[in-house]
Amino acid sequence: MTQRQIDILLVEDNPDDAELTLHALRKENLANHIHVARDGEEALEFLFCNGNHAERSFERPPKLVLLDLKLPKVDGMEVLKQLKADPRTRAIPVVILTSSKEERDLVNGYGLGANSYIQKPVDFDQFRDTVKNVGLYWLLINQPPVSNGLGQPASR
Amino acid sequence: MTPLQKNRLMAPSFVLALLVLLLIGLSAYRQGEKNAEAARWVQHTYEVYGDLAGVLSLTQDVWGSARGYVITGEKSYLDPFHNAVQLIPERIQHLRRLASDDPAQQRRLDALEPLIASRIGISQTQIDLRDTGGRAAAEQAVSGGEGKRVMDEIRRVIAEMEAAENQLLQRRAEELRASNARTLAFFMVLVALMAGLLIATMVLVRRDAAAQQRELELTEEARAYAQNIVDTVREPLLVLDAQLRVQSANHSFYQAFRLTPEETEGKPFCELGNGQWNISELQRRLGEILPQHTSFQDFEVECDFPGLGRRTMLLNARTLFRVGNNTKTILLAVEDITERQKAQAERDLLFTLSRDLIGVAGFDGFFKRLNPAGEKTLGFTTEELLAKPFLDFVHPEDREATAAETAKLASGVETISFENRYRCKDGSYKWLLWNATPSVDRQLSFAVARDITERKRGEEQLRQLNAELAERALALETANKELEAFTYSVSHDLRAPLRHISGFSRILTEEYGSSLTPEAQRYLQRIQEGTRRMGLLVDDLLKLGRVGRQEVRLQVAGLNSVVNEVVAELKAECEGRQVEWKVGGLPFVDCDPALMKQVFQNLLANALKFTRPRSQAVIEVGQKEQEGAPAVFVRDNGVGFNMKYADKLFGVFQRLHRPEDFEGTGVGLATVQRIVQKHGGRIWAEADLDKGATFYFTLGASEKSELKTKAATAGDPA
Repeated sequence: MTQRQIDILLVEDNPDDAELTLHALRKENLANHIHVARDGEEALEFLFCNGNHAERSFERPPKLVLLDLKLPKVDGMEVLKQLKADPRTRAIPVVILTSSKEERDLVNGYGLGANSYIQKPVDFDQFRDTVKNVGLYWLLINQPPVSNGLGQPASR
Repeated sequence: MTPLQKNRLMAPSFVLALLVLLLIGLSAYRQGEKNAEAARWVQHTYEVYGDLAGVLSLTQDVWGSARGYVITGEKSYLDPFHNAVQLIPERIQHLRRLASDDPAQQRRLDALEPLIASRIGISQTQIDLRDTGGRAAAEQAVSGGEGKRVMDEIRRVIAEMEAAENQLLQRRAEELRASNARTLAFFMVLVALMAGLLIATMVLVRRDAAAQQRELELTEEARAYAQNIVDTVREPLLVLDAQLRVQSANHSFYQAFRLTPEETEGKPFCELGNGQWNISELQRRLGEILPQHTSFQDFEVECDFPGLGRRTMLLNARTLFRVGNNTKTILLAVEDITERQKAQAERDLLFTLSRDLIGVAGFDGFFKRLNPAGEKTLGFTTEELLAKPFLDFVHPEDREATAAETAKLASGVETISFENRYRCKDGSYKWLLWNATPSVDRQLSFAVARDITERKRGEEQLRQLNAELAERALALETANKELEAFTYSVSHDLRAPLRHISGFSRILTEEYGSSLTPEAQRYLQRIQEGTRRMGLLVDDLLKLGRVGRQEVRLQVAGLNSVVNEVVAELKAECEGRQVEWKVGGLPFVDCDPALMKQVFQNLLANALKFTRPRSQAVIEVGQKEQEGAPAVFVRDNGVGFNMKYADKLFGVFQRLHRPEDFEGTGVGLATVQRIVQKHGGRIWAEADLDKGATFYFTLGASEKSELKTKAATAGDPA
């Protein structure tokens, strides 16, 4: 199995949300290198290269994690916590993309090291714009660190 | 040296002096006697001398006369002869008497008498011869010499007698001289003794006088001292004489009975004042004191005193010896116990009437005294309560603590607010709250107990109520949390499907719109609109929920800047409208600025919304005194509302307008009210249909914010 480069890890349990997010990213041509994890457990396996994703390598981490908070099995905060606690994954940018605008989620999210916190707008236009902007910023504008295991530049 | 000792010494010296005087007198008398006797002896001797000289002379007369007659023959010469013969025996006789106690002189007289007789006989013979023989014969006889020889013999005997008498006299004079000398010496001794005694007595007397002076001074001092004490004593004191007349009284007496010394001294005691002391029993007992050496104590007199009213006095009397003049008087002390009795009566009343239990308990575990409250509280008689150790009445569960507390009392530690249960006669228990003070040397403690059964019951009820309340509060909190979780979850969960409906319908419109009929497109639009409105509703609900849960973070903020910020944000909505904003001076207040912003966002948006039909909208924000407190108001000239529905204004989902007239979720004012309430304030509205509305709100007004209001009003031209 050839390991392809993944730019975005979308952690989203809701297929509708996943569909709409992918739709928005696709429009901007940002959905080519995307992996959708349907729960927190899978997301951790993907990020830590074990379980069903044992073939993956830390050498090629995703450039962005879009993380929902309400997730089956392991919730988004726990995923964030483990990700940011491990030096191998700490540098991966994490954008929390959630329906919640609860202050405690915001505080906790940033406290655990989230790079950005975005509430999914109900209005689809706004939603689409938001997803587009996030994708463009983190994949194209943002300069990832070189010496932290994210050495491989994006293929594009 | 005490006066008594001095007296003991003085008396013998006087007796001695007397004895010496007696001796002097006696010996003087005796010496006088002796001298008189000596004088008699001298007289005696001279008498003897006289007699002897007489005898000799007479005897010579016998001789001479006989010779003369012999020579002359004249008869006249014989007269002395006859005279002498006649007188000589008398003289001899006299001499015998004088020398009756002297045998030697008697013997000499015995010798003298015959000699004289013989001489007389010779002369008689010569006379007879003259007569008979004539002169020559007679001269012959005379010259015979016989007469001369007898005469010489007589002379010799008389001289011998004279010498003896003289010797006797000499001896007697010697004896008298010796006696006189002895007497003189004796006198000298006696006089010396006398002088010594006199000097000693004088010294003693002088010393005694000094001592007496000193004693007098001491006595005076003691008297002054005593008088000072008497005057200083606060208790009125009187000194009465044997006739019960007042000799003196102390200052306290005059003060206490409002009498002057003139009204008192020398007056009979029973007549003092208005005669209130004239009580026969008192008089009797006072009268007995001196004659019978009695005294009395605490004689109680209750009567009216001039200027004092009814008083109770305690009288004490006893004999008072006056050292100065050695008289006996009566000291009478008068004590006014009216106040004390009153206080005692009040204390007794307190003790009797107290609803609190008052008791005296011994360290032996028994009550010694209990007031009637004890009976009333516990139902036992006082006798029953005193008969058993008090621990027997204490609830078994409280006994240990009670015993420990009494042990503490016994060691001198006060009991403060100790609680225990006492058994009542009916078997129930009463809670008592004790305060007690021990008196360790008397082995007693003085305790006061209050029946706190009711309070305890109340406390128990309160405790139960509190527990229930806490339980309920906990349940409420849990329910609240559940509700919050539910709201959160619902809002959250609602948003997702909304988003999906919105998203997919949008995709349909955008990507497949061209293949849809216009009607289908319109429906899709309605779906979009519906989801948008529901989205707003959910967001508002989430906001309300958050306000409810959120803690208010107070800080001082100027409301003008908050309002200005909100007005600026609303500018977009004013596009194409005539809106006049009149913002007055608003106070600086303690508030959560973010929440206050929400308040003004809602109120000002509402004002803007409901003035939409007006060609010229006027929206006013200001501060106004309302019901004595400063209130902030937002006034508009919009459509207003019927005050009939004013109570629904702040309810969730309550709307007073149709959605097609004025859009809205019905959550905004509910949120505003929550915020105002969270600040400790109140919100209300005044309106008239079609004549605009005014919303007032207050915040927890404090002096601080009011002061700031003035400062802000003065300094803010807006």
